[in-house]
Amino acid sequence: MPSLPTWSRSLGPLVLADLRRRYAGSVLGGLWAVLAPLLEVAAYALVFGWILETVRGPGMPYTVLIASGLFPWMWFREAIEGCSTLLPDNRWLRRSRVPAELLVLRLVLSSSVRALVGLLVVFGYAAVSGSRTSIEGWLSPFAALFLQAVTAYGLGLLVAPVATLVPDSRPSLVSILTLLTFASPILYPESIVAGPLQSLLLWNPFTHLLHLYRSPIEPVALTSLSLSWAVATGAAAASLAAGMAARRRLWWRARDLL
Amino acid sequence: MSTAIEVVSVSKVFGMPGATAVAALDDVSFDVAPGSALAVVGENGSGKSTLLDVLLGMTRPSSGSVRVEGEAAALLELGAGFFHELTGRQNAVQQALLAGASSASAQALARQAAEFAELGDFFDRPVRSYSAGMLMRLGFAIASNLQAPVVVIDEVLAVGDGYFQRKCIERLLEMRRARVTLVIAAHDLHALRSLCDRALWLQHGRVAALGAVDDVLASYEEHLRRRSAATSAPPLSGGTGEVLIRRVRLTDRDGVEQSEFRSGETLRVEVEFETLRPLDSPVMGIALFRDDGVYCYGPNTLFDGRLAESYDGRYILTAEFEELPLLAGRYQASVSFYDKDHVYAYAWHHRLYPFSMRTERKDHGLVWLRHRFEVRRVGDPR
Repeated sequence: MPSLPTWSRSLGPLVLADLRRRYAGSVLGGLWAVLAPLLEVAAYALVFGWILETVRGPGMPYTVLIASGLFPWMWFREAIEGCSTLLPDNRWLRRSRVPAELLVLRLVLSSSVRALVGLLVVFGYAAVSGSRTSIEGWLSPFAALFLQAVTAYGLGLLVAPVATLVPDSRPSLVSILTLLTFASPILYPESIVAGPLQSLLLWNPFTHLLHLYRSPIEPVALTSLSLSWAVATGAAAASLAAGMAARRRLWWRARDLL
Repeated sequence: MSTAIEVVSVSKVFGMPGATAVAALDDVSFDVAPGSALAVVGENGSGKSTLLDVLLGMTRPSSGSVRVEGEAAALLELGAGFFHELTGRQNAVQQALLAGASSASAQALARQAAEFAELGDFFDRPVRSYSAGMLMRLGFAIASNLQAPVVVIDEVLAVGDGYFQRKCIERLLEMRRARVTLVIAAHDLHALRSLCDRALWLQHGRVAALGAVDDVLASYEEHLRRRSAATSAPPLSGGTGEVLIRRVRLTDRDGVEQSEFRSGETLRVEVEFETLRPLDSPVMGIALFRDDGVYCYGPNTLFDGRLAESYDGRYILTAEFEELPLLAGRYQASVSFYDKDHVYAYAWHHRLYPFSMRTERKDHGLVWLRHRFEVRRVGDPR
């Protein structure tokens, strides 16, 4: 099978073709990449912020809070869910020398458009509101982007063969991802979570990724930025290690089932 | 380096969750010398595709070892390895890059593939719009231009049209002359004979035969004929019963009963029959079948315009086939007695009398036909 330097040269055209496939052909084209998540943000803002009026936190407007968290989360969710059907969707892989890593990484990268929209929202609001965060604060969203890509890549390498070898894991994965959506401070500010639930929230690596993403516009975090860096980096490294181990041990067995 | 491919005691077991494990390959060993071509034959499910997958490292053997010297290019399944949103050209570049080519040589390969595949404007359209034949053209054009020392092809050539199939075979012959090692699985035994010098016959995942291509394919063909004979309709008899077929003998020209005849010698079919009432000008016929059911020949007394008379009693009908031109194989004779208008049968025995033919000739087909070859010069080169 081709080595990493060999197959990584194929990545660019594949990601571009995937983006074109997703967005070309529709009347609004690439605008959908922005429009669809914006509509989703608007829906959440309408329900939680305006109708229920239950979520109120200090600092940024609620819509900005949701947008800065939901966009990166949607990226992660789309990539992981895509990986869970990657093998059955590409049965031809069994009889080709296209490496599995290439398909997983393509999926992670071509889904990342949403996260980039999230970054735009964060930096846009930071500029408008005159944020005075530190250099680390400005750089943290980029680090978050990279660490989340590594995490999604590692978990994708793990999820793809597991979902094929254990068919029941696919519906479970959807439930887990839904649970994680609400177990992360995406739709609500951390400050409204009280007591033991707050420390539970801090066990979730995505909470720390959100700290990094929001650092230019959320100067008051419940934990220090450096802790978030450490946790997010650890989660990325652990995911990558799990993914590489799955690549070595599980992919061959999963391919044989296609 | 004495071998290009070395396969030692390879077994492959597929274990499906909740199902019995299936042994797709069972203790398979062989090697392929550099520059030679191995035909892989066997019925569907015999393990051919799994063997090629193992050779190319697309699945791991459960036990045993595989060694392939150098890069191998493969054409295993239509569309496998193609990204359907990319164009034919982009896929050609991708495949070349994945095979380790530089960007410049990948572009060059794409140009060569475009020229070979003759897909016209389609070469620059997304592969998802391709027909099966176009996918085959693209796949073959890429695999055969990758300049790999080993090329493995699995049963996809049959998809192409006649023109492109011939083009592929010519390219494969060129590759043989260039000492490329080939492994080809196919059902077109004629093409395999032309392309390969050795053959491997797989049966239920095991090696049934391995050796010179003519010998192995002859054994395989014989096996297929027997299978076909075993599964086709069993020999039957019937009729109104107004004629009783008492005995049928197959003899040589001297009247000695035989079960095997040499091609070109005489076959006599002697039919002892009895009429149960006086019959006017019955039509008597003999038919010869190959044991896979091919109807070889069927003369009768109506078409020959003879024996128009009344019969009442016991008789022996003799049909003599002088210089029987059937080629080697297993055959059966049928016997029938019809009314004078050839509408209903008094008695018939369908493929009840087996015999075999042997010959030293290597000609392919059903019969040997008198022929000669001649070449005349009709002009000078341009």
